[in-house]
Amino acid sequence: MPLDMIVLVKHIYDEDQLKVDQTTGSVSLQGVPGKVSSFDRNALEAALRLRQKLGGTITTLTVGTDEANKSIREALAMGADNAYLIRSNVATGYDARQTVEILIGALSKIPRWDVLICAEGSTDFYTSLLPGMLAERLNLPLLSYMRSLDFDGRSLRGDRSLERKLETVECSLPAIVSVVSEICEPRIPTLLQIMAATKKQISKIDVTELGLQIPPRYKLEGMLVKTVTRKRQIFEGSPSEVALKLYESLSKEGII
Amino acid sequence: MKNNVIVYSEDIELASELLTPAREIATSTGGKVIMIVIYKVEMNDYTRLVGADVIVSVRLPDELGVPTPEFTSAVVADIFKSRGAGFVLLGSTRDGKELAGRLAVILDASAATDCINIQFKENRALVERLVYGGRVLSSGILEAGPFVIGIKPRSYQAIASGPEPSIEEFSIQSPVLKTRVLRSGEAERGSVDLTKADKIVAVGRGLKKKEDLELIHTLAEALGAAVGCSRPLSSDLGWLPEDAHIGLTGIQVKPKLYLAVGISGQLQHLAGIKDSKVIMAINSDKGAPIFQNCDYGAVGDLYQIVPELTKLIKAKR
Repeated sequence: MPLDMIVLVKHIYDEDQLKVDQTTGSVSLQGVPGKVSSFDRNALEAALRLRQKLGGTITTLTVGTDEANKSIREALAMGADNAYLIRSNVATGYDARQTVEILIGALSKIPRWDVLICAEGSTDFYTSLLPGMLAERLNLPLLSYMRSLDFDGRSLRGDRSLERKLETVECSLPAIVSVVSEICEPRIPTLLQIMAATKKQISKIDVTELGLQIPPRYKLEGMLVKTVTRKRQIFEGSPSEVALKLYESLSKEGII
Repeated sequence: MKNNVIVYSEDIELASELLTPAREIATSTGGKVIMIVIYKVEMNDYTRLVGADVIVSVRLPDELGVPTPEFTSAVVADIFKSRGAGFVLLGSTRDGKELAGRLAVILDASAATDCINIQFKENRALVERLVYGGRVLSSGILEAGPFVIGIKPRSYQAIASGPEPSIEEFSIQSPVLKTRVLRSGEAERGSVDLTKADKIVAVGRGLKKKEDLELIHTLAEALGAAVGCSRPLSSDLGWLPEDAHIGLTGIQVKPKLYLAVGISGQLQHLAGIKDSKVIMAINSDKGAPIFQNCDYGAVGDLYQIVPELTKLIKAKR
């Protein structure tokens, strides 16, 4: 049986390019380039593999500003069929509960779907609140932290990876699934696929069209870079020379 | 005001740590600390749970093999509502984070996970959490209760001693669950808990084949260190168990010595080692980010340096 899937794609500030005030250590996001939250590519890859096996469609869903087009194009190049951008002008984003309400508003505009797949968390704020919130709000089953996923025509099933346990879990459709990055390695689109993706349509819905009034529950106050200054003594030379340097350093630090 | 503080974690050690901030909050609200324990056959060691006023024990219904977050959220919500609580403190484990999301909706609460510090002031919760791959410390405010807050493991020290809590039994009708657990087993585990290790030798993609792990084990043995790895070695290659995976999505460690062998030092890996006292690295690529984030580094072939270093350490012993 083919599956119609929705994959959540988040466009985030690139953590490698954050702007840090050298004197105060405070972080500014203004003008920082964006990229796709990297675990979302694993979630999309998991959906692509299910589609390959079972047939069906993949629609990506994103809440963000027009900047997010970049990440959506990447998802389309990887192989998503359709894409929705719920467009807002809130550059700093929404808290988890606001995002969930916006997503639910948007989901009502998508004709039908069987499974919503997302990453266990986003690589920017990584609250991991969203899957549990979505499941409760939509009153749907949730398979969380999945490291494998399969569908036998009736049940969605796979292995759930916890810190100290591995569970095999199943549920019926429709369902929410969150995946860990180990589930699969995301593919890298070819130049041809990237070109083809520019021709695909991105459906846009303005967040105001959803008519939601959701006050923020979590207010971000400030961000500071934790600087642990490392000594950065780098040794070069023959293997025995550098080994001796490391050995002396271990001794100096009182470790051996 | 609803001033009692509910505490729950499926991990008993983490649960005992949570009692420290719970006690602080209860002191400022004049409320009680109510610890929820879900047990299967009989209650085991609750004497470690110092700081709770009341332990509410809940027997897992026979038809459930494990308490899933779906089940636990129903239990916690029931107790929360019947006990006049305003706070839920949870362990920020994977199960705990799913639970936090569910409870945020069920209780219509303000929620935050992975907090390393929480202060309750003037009816607002001030939390600190690490974001952007552990590189940035963020502070945030939850403006209005109720509050659901997940605390990261080892953020607080458990309370050493205190009065024994009273114990109350709570019975729950087994809810109809939408997710079924078919099997539950221990994840394949290494022999040591890396989060408690004093010294760690960790290995990454610089290692060419599984058999070469012997080199790393020999060095670790000479140092008296435990062995960990970066994500590819456990998750993609399966050369080491998943609980050896150090990084943002794996475990976070704080040893006295962290020796990274053949690990390039991607941001996600660095997030797991930043609290180490001394970071040492061996890598053939001089431009690898690990060298920007270590105290001592050796540029060169690990296959040559590691045996040399092992020899020197052994000679001393």
